[in-house]
Amino acid sequence: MYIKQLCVFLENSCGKLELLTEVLAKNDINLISMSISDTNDFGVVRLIVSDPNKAQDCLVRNGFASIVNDIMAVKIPHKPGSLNGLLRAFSQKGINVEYAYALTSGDNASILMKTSNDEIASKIIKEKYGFCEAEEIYNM
Amino acid sequence: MIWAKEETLPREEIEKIQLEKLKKLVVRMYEGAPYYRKKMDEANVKPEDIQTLKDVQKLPFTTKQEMRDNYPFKMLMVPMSEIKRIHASSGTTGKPTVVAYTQNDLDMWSECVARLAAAGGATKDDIAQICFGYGMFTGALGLHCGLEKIGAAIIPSSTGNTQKQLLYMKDFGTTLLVATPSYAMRIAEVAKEIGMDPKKDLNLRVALVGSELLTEAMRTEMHKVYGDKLLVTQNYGMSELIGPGVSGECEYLCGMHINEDHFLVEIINPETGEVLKPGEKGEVVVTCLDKEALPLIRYRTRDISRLFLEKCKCGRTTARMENLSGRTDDMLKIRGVNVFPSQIEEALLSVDGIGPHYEIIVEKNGMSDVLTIRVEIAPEKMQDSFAFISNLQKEIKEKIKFILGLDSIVKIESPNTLQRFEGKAKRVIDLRK
Repeated sequence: MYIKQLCVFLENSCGKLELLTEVLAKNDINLISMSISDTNDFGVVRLIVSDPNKAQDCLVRNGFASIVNDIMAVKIPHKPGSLNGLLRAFSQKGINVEYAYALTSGDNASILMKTSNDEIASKIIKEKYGFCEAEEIYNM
Repeated sequence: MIWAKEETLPREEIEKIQLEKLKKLVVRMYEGAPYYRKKMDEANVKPEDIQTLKDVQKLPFTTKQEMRDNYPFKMLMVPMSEIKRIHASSGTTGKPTVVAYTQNDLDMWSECVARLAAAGGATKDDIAQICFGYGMFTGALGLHCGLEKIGAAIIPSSTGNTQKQLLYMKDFGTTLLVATPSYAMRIAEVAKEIGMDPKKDLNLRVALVGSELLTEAMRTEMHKVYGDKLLVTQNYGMSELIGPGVSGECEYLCGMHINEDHFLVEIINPETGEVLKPGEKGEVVVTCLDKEALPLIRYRTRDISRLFLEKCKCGRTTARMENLSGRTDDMLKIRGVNVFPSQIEEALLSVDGIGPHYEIIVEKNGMSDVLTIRVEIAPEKMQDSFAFISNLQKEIKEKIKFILGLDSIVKIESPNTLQRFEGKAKRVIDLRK
């Protein structure tokens, strides 16, 4: 149910994101999905990449503060209302979505999400839709 | 280990030695140092007025400005033929402060450093790596000669090329490190970058730190990276007085034992010049009792400390100086509040999640002072949540507010963004000047 996500700390200033992607590019790491949250000063970049452990090594060596952690990758029908249906089920069980971002490709769609209770959330997900295979995503 | 019997004399005997030396010194200065004779005449004091140790209070102070005015050699009390070594302070602005030594001065200096190094944990069996910059700076050669006297094996690796430093440290089995606290932290940081664990891969037993102030929080940080078993002791001095060698901590870490048979230390109110009682905090004033080339009477160090006279658990009877709380020169006045950078350091190092490096920036915005603090996120403490970093920022702001009563802007930045220092760290940028 989980895939590896890379979280990187970045100052919110010109050129920092470029530097991050340059490290990935030079090490032949493909970017599959990305989400950036920011304030005036700094941001946290969340990334799904082709080789999360290698990416993490490269980033640390280049002076970035980053970690790899687990995130749920939900396989979801690419149709109006499918995410809404899932979230309604979450709300009924009192589950909050802490952060989420999307990944779509052709007819396939998936949502990467962290919830306040992944254990219960994962049961609901399994009943309704199911999870993506990690390898399938890293090789997109 | 107690190096010399002078460290355990009864108080009366220490004071007797000090008074004898002081009397001789005053006569010598009155007769041979025109700049000081003039000051004594102006203060209406004659050498014969010095009859008790307390009479030292009648004597005029000496300031750093006088050393600058007499650049380079006008204050020397012996001809150049008697001088064996010349050092100079870093002097970031203007001309450096020049100091010089006769053979007896060098011998006394080594003796003083040997005592402090022994108190701080050094033995003849140590392999001592000296990561102070060799050159005009008194720190490196001061520690070098003192440790040599003890009989330690010395690696004079100086500063710079931190990876090479680590290679020596690991392959030569270094047991004793001499460095500034900030460079000691930098060495540990580079060790981690190249995949070494300072706790397991190094054989360090003792760190003798100096040349910049060691806060308790920084000592705790050093234990975190090098392990709890490392004995971290600091010693104190300044080039004008002799270099390192004035005072240093023993293993009980309860203040720095002063080499009182060579240095007479007083604590004064920096505003009024009035001498304070033991236990009261003020500016450290030092008289070099028996230096030949460059004796100084009542030199104002600008460092802030206080004295303790009680006998120490280590057996030494010499007075102790509390670890410095700052220098009057370093004090910042921000929105009317007196701020020592060490207070900010204590606050920052108590926050889990940031590294030990920081920068303090003070600037004017209209009529008001703005305090900005830059810190680096600790890479191993990174989390996936955004709130983690916002909370970190909030925590630092609140701690600064609690300690200083001041609002601040806290900037959290990537690892390795801030400047690193191999010698004295320069962490304050005051843009109001």
